[in-house]
Amino acid sequence: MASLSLTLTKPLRNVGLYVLLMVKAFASLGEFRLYRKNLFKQMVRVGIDSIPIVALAAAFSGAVTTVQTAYQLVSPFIPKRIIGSIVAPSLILELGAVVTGFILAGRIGARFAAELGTMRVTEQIDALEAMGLNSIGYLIVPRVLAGVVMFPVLYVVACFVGITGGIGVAHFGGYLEAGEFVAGAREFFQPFDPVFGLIKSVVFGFAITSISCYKGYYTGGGAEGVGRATTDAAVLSCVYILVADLLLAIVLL
Amino acid sequence: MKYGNELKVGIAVVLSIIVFIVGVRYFQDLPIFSGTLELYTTFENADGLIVGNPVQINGVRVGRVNEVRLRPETRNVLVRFQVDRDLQIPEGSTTRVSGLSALSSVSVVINLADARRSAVSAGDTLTSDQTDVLGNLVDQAPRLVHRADSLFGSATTTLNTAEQLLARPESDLRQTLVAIGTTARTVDQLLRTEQQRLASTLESVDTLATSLADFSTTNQDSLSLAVQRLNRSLTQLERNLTALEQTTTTLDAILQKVNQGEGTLGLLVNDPGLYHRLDSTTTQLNRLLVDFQQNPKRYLKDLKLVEVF
Repeated sequence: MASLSLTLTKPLRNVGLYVLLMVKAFASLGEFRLYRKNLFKQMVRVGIDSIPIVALAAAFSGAVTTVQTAYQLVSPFIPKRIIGSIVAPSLILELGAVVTGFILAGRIGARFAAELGTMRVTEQIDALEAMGLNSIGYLIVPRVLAGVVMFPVLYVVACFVGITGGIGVAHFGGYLEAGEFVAGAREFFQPFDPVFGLIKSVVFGFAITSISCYKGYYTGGGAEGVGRATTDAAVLSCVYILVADLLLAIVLL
Repeated sequence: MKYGNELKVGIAVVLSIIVFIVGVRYFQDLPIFSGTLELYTTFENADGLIVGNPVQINGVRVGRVNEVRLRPETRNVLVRFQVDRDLQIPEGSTTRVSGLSALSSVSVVINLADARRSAVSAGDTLTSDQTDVLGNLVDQAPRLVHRADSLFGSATTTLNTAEQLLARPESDLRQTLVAIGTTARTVDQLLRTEQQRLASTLESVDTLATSLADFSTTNQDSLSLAVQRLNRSLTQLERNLTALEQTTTTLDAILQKVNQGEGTLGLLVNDPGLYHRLDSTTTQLNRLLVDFQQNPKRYLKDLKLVEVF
């Protein structure tokens, strides 16, 4: 009976634990000197080091979207520039943020969970606490903050490279001229679209880093526990990216 | 380097902010460095104009539509758009909506006024001149379709009737067609059988024409003389006829006068007074003569000459 109620309330307890962790992290936000050095290290790891893989994925997303849209739009009544009208907003609204989010969920989520989990399992976090350091402020705040700040940068990179890749494939693949593509993209461009993308990227950045830090920070059960935390962090990040994507689209569009 | 990480992050953030702003302005089709001018115009009918549609001058994109709003109080559409600041659009320039929203994008087209007029400034309203050619066409369309429909209907009926007529072997149309066919066959046969004779007839006609031509060539002089004479006679005749006509006209006028009782002749013809007087005179003369015969002495009393006898 007791174990049943424990099983039933486990998701709620997890949510509570996660919220408490975030509240503590926000409370430590003022102790800038504590995490300043670590913050920039994490920013380079999250942001700068991720640029090549994000650019690669975005370029391929843009190129594939362009080719497939061109393949689908075979009616002679639809002007070719509509390909640009479809590809550019797709990248700006959805692919730029989500593809980057999935890449970061695998690349950063797993790394953060493994780092923190190992520190937890080898009792380094306890040691920090014993030394009187605020472990949350020292370990979690810079990581989450790095995600929130650097994810929009990666989003901009993804959009830029993705649209450039789309234009490149359209132009050199003989699907439509670069000018046509740009004209089509301009036709249905709304200034709110990239702003919405930026909001998404901030939310995704927060979701990925906070979930993986939570999973790593509360790891238990030795080496196996670290492995489980790493997997959980990557999978949960992806799931919550999708959930957040849908919620934001409903709320903001 | 001591601040290596900070520098990298700073460069990345600043570059992405620049790319973001430039990219947004690029896709809004705004000049990236120079400013823009925001103007207004109103349309009776926006024809599917939406935010982001291009603004064109002479077919070149110079700006974009920022707002399309229906104003219920005036029942027209207020359109806010921005154009390049360097364009110097003269005052009095007009706008219109161009394009079909069903086929391609709609755009606002600015017709520039005389370039010597001063340029508009931000917030000005341009007047629109909209000629709704397509709308008129669309209004006419149902009637056209209706007429075409009825036309097709009657054509179908006619064709059906013709078909039915042709299907009945005793129908007039069918018999007529059969008769025409028979006639054509007969003519064909005739032509074929009479081919020889037709050829010879045509040959004779040809010979006749040739000899006629020969004849006219050899007797050309006398022919022309005869024709000249004939011509002269005809001219004379014409002159005589003209004179005759004039005479007839005059006679006609005289007779008309006579008829109306004008002139002596007219009075003579129309006035019975003379006749009556003549009649009574004759009667009296008759009586006088009778009296004279019976009583000659009454009258011859004074005639000495008669006494001699």
